[in-house]
Amino acid sequence: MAHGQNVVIQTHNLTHRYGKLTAIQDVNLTVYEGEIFGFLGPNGAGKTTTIRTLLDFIRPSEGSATLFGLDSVRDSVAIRARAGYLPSELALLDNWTGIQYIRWLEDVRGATNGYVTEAERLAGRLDFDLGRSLKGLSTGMKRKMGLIVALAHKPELLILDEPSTGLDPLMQQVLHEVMRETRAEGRTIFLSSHNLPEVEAICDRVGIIRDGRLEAVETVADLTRVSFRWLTLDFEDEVPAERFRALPGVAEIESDGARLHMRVGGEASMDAVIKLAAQYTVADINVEHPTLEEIFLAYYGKKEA
Amino acid sequence: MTAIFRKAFHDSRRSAFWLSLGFGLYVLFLMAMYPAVKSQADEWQKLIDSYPEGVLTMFYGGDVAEFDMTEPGTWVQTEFASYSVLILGAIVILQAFNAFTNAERDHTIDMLLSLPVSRRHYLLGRALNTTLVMTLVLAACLAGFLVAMTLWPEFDPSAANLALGMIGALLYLLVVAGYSYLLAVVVPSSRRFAGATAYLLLIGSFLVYGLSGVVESLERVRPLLLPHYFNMGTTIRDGAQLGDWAVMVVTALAYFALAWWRVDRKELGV
Repeated sequence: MAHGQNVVIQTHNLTHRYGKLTAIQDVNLTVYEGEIFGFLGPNGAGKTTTIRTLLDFIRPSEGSATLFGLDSVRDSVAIRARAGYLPSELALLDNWTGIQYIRWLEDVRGATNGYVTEAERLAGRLDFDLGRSLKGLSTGMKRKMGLIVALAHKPELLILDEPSTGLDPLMQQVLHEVMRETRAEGRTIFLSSHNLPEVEAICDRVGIIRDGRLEAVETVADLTRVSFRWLTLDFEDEVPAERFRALPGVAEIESDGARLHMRVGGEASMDAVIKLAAQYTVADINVEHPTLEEIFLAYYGKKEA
Repeated sequence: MTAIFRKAFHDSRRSAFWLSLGFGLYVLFLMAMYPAVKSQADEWQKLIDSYPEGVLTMFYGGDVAEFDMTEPGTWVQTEFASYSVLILGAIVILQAFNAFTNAERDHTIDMLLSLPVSRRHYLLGRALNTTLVMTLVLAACLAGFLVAMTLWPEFDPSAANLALGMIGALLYLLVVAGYSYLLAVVVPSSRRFAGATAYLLLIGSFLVYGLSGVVESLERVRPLLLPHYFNMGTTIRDGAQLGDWAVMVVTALAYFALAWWRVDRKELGV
């Protein structure tokens, strides 16, 4: 998906330290209008700290950030008026029903133009009853309400921190649809995740953060090129591993009688492996996505090569 | 800011109601005993005279030379005001720490401050709510005393001075609110000592003030302690203690101003 050239988020050497611990260091990031930008990293990599700095919950120890060209510290209220946010650890103000909360938010945001209607539309989409009390909601239900809150004012920028956590697969699909629609309306999404398949499925570009440093910014197509899958094949009888080893893109093959475990890179390789496997009697197939750490290694291996 | 205030009051409206009702009933219960005390003034005085002066000083807080338990001001101060400001002070501290420390720990502050609301307006909204809740509770207490004046004519202080006494109590509680909000803003929520410090200041100043009446070496610290500036009995007898009020107003404003300045530099989140 093509994005505009208007910059929505820009950070300059953004650094934050919690005492002696450096949570993020020299993060330089540019997010353009109309794109879904994935912020990918393992837990503790600095994703949430970056988001909290962008939203002015915490201040940069060094460097700066601008959103919509506004300074993240000085103009934080104006920025938050134009942004929607779903935190990773979501805690709702739960002494209200959903609709009471929405009406209060309408007042806080000074939103008069169809705010409640949009919230009701989103609630319908996410199968959430706004009439129910917000007390005692399950994690998934809380996240649905959090999404409604983040989206109802039609923000120009949507910041989602691990949005799929607690959502069932069906709702994850609905969430992805909502995100695509948001992008189609020219709005921007900054999506933090440690879930590679989710990022691959929905994002245009991806920033990879590790140990507080932004290691790379890639298009999803480039990321997919260096990506691979772990494939485990169980056969009825023992099969010759060397035939699979000879296939392009197959590596790190391990044979254990009738079971083969291998690393398969690229779509063409997978096709060849499946076609070769079909020549034998297959009892079971298991495909696993690589961990983020493995992606990093694959990415750097490619870069160094 | 008004939206934050509205939300905070919505959340505390039930506790405000029950607190007001509870304190109002407590006042009536207390005053129901007053006619019996008044009618046995001589026996009471004998009992009081048998108390060591130090003990009386500690618990009354004021000048005990003319201590008369049956005098309305003294009765209200000893039986109501001295303890009530401690209980209400504890609630004020809880509200201040709920606004920041606890909201950070349970992450509710994330949702609030992702809205276009400045931290200062958030602080102001929450502090206004604390002020309103305390005003309602003290108003209920005043109502209780006024009803008691009707039910038991033996209790005959000036109604205006009773109201002034409640204003004094409110100022006392605003000082407690001021340093509590300041502590909640200044001390990171990951540190657990801030709330304990606030409670220590509330209870400790009460105890040290009581002791300072009988321990000579502590006499010099009296002007540094909040109870020095509030005695509801004196107000009921003599009217507003403007000098004391001024000290409490300035102190509360100073604490709130510091919290107002500092909240903008606070790191939010544990």
